[in-house]
Amino acid sequence: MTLALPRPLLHDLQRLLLALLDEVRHQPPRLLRGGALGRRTMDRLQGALGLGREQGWEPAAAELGTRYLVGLARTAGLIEERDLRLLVVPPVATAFFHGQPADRVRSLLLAWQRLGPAGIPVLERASLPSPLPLGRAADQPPEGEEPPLPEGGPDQGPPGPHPEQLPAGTRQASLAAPDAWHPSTIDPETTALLALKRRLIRMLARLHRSGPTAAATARPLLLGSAERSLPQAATLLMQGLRELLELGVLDETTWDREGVIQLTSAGVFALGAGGRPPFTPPPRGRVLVQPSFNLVVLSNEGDLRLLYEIGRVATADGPPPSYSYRLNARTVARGVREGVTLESLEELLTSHCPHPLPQNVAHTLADWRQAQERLCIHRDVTLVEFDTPAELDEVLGLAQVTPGVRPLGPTLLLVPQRSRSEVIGTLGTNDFIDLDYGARLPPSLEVGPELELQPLPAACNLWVPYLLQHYATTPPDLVRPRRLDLPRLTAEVQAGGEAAAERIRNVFDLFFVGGTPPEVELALRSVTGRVGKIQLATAPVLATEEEDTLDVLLRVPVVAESLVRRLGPTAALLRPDPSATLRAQLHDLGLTLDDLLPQAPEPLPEPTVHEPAAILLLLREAAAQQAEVVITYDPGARRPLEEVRVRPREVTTRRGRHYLHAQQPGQTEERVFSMTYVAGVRRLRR
Amino acid sequence: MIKVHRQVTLLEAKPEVLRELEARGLLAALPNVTLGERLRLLDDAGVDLLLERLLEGGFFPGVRRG
Repeated sequence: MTLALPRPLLHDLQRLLLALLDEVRHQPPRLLRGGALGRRTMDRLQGALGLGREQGWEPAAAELGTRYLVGLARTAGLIEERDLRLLVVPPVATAFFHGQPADRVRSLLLAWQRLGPAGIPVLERASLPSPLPLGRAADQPPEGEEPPLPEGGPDQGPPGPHPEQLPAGTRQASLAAPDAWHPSTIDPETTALLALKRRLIRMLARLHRSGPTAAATARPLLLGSAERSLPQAATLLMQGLRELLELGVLDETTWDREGVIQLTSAGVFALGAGGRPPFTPPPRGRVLVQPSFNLVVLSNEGDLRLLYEIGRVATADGPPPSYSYRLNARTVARGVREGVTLESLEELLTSHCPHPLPQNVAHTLADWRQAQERLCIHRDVTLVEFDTPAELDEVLGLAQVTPGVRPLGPTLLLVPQRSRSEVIGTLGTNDFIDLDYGARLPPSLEVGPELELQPLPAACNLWVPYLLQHYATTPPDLVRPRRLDLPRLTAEVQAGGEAAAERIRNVFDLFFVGGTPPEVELALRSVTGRVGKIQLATAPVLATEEEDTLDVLLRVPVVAESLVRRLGPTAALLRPDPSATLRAQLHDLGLTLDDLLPQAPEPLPEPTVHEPAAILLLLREAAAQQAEVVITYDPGARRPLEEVRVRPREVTTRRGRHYLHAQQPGQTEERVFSMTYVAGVRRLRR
Repeated sequence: MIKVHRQVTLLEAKPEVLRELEARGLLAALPNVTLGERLRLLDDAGVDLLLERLLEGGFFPGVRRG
């Protein structure tokens, strides 16, 4: 089997399917009677399996999703072997095949053929591409109607296509005439998305009882826009739940133990007044832990929960679904960052491994756990700062202080998020005045003239000393102001690159009034090469000897229109564009603009060439252009060296020697110079 | 009077570990404020980068959220 699922999409699919299965798992047993798991559940599965329709991977997704669903349902004890045919074939096939082209149905069936017991009975009774056999449960409605769902359970929204809704006789023509399978125009993805959103709305309504602020904050995160696709909605849902975790609506213990199960309607029950069934761990002996740190999952059906947990802390060896994983420090660190603890990892491995963990693996896990005890990062915690140690002692002595709250120093108290409201409330009732800095601190510093740093009067948060220490110069005394230390910032960017520049900008945006000052931005850009080309452009400056003259000139309309700025009593900066018009206008006024400009310096003389080849080339060029040159003629000891101004006519060659025929100014006769004695030539400026 | 700082990120380690991090320059480029010999206040935006560096430096930090 070859699957080409992008990993993020696969994860989204897995999460959604897990949510669906969890919903199935919490259905009353009577819903499973007759092999029908529930029409709405199957409709959601249909939407989930149709996730990647646009990406063209739904056959693979169908295969994967069905494998997971069947495996999980069997693992959870929801279904037995005899139910599989009824579970997979009629409801899912009927729903999912609705509206699909015949070749796609054929490819799906071929994919399902590899599903094992779940798919083989279908194909045994089917003769592709003959009409699709539907089995007993599809041909005959399940006994009785599906009972009403409990309050807060799966939504009551518009269901997707269902076999009982289809016109009689159309099922038998499924492959031959796929168009006959269009009883509804509802897009399955839209249906599933709407169902998911309705479930979220219900969930939010329940959350509202816990805390209106939490619900209001989470609502946009959870719902998103109507245009979002189902994978995006599932991702949003995950983000929203994390947000709820941070808001304290869910606690960390629940999150760690149940993970994505919180997505489901059963999770909504847990948030509300009702309880939820206990979690049933999958059977042991399904993960082989090798001394080489390879994990092999021994599961034919691909237990989604297990694969999900393993995939958080290990890297799959092959494309999904891969049952072989590699465990190393980096993969475990990735999982730790997502909230996995080493205790839960060890429990996961030991509970699923059929034999004791290899000694080296157990020792490495112990080493990692010990290393974590040495160094720990607490994210999103609350820190309460007291003025004096006595105040902290007083608070620690209060009986109401929640376990988990602990001092981190003589005046600092660490408060886990789940205890924050309780601790703050306790402090309030004991007459402690609470200066709440909230999640974002207000700007604390202002950059004044000459980059002076001026702390604001209310700036007393913990970051001000750091900012002054790291971003400001150290004055020799306490009187002189601190200034921004631009060289230090540029050095930091030189060491850290664009990431460091971005971090510095973030710091300025957070803590400085007005954000990043232009001086700092220029300094950062100068290091990262984003300054671009800078040049000093020349613009005409109108300068006069007398102030009165400039006053008069600036009253002339064409001059006034060209004025950019007066530079002083006798000079003004003009725009360069209309200089020709301006020159003409000044000429009409009887003025010559050049008279007002300084005299141009004498041009430098042309260089003299001495190389014989260059001399020859220059003389031939001058002869062609009829240009005058000055030759340095050195006849040796016979006559003194002389410089002769000539107009070359031609260069001739006789017996291997070159001769210059030239005419001297003021003379009519041509003179011949032997090139042997020409020591240098230079052009005369025209 | 108390000051409540919500949603902050802290690095907690033994003093000798913090000194080693300092000596190896792992904390140099990250905004951090010393809150005692075992504690640093971190800029949360740079924590992922710090985690990468710590991992490359042979450390295996734990991360606790909330």
